[in-house]
Amino acid sequence: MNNLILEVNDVAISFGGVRAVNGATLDVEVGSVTSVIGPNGAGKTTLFNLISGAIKPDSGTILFEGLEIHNLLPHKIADRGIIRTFQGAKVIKRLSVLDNLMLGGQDNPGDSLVNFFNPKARKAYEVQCRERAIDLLKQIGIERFADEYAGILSGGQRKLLDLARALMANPRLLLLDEPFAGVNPTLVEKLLEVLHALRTKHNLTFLLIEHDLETVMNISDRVIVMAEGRVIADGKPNSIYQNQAVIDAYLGTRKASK
Amino acid sequence: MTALMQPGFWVFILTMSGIYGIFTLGLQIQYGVGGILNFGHVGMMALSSYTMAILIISHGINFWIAAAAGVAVAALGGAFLGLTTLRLRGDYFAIVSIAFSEIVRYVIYNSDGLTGGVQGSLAIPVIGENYPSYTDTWDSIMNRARDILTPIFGEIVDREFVMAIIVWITLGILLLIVSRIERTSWARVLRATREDDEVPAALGKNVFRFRLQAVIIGSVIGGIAGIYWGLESSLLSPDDFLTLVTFYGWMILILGGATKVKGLPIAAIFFGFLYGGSRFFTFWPFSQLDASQRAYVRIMIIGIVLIVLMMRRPQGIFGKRQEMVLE
Repeated sequence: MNNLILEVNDVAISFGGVRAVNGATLDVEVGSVTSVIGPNGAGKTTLFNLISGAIKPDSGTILFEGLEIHNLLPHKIADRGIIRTFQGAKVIKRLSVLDNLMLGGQDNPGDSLVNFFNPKARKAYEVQCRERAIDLLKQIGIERFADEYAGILSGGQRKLLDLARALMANPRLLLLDEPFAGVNPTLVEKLLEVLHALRTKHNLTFLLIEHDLETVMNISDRVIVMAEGRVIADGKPNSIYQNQAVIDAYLGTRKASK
Repeated sequence: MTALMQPGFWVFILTMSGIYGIFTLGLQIQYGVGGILNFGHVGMMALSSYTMAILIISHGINFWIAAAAGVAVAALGGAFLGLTTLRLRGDYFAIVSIAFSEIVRYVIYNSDGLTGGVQGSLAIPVIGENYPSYTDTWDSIMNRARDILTPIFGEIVDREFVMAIIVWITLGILLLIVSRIERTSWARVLRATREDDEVPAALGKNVFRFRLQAVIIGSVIGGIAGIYWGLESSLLSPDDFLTLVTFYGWMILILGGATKVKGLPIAAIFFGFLYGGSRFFTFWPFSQLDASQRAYVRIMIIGIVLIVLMMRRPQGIFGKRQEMVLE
């Protein structure tokens, strides 16, 4: 039990008449890479929104490091160490690339207005934060855009920036919403490299959403398959391949009986 | 045309520009940095100036304390507006904020026993006979300042001249403070919230707190403008605080470039001269109009300037174009 960083127990939420997540139960081990896959409308992104606090579940519990988080506001959940990226990558277009990254800095004394009168503490943090941000920019190879508005970046670059910004926040659990979708293969390689390095260096835990199994096959310790708001399979990537329920969900085979 | 030649008139315009500049600075931090559409800003000015006047006239309270209390009440007004309605999305907040300032104005209108109602500050009930006007202390300060300044500047120094200097020094100090604030990481988060709620929240920032703080800071600045407004006119009337005043502030803001403070004083002066100077539009073709029609010409000109700006230079005089239009 102790090496579970995240536990989602029987969580459900409906929007109008649609039960987007319908009693999903899953857990994530510390230091693992766990992937959630499933067809469109399976409730993957809704699950992420529930974990990150953007929406509250109708029922069920979510525990992070053993403590309930499903009633917390999103920024409180982020404070605990769960940081997410967004489907299609969200950058603040009218902030510079560097500012986007520095936004990720945690416990920044300058975020508090009281510290307006404590410029020393603010400056010290900013200098250090800026250094880290530039380091990360170099890692993802877009440091030449540091002072440009993030709105000029291409789709792939935005994904990198979104990821790097999440890393700035020193997460313990990183939620990645379709990090590879629409990214060219070379960039995928690069992303994987960055993720791998992080994993070994910081013992970071990953929970990621992808569309299909192929993409996550080689990088995941474990794959969770969702369909129609439920978890229909959960196991090692190889075992998922053979799973009849998964094949049905993806190929839309008619259910034999109800 | 003779008034055109009198320096006193232009000094008056300068003073009003400065007060409008301070007023607009409050909007700048709210909208230019935080993207908060506050159309009820004039309400803060009404709260602070009336609070000051009532405390002095009805309660005989010291001018400085009364002025500080006025600003504090404006801050509370901002906190109230923010706490109740800031969770609404941009345009909805804008509508409710107009309602806020109109409520303030109507309350002032209808509280004869407290505010003097329609008759304005002249009818504020006097307690004790020593305080017939709320500007007494201020006037003596001004007189002393005039005595000090006359040897330096000569004949030109009068009440208006001193007022202009004090107002512009205040604006300068506030510009300095606000531009410093806007270089902190606090402002960076606020800028992010201008565009998106989810990203800053997902990074552990309490978006609501930042917005609320921006509204309160803006209200404090608006409150300071209100104090000067009250001192400048030395007579308050509920009609001083029409929503139109807020829109004048918006015009200055857009003209100067909403995202930066440096264009603001220039835009304020431009506005002041356009506003005050348009009464001298007695030459052709304006000579075809009578005086009351000419009063509308300036509002038309202001409108045209705004439209041209929005089309040609949405970032204002000094703003960065990308920061306004990048999608």
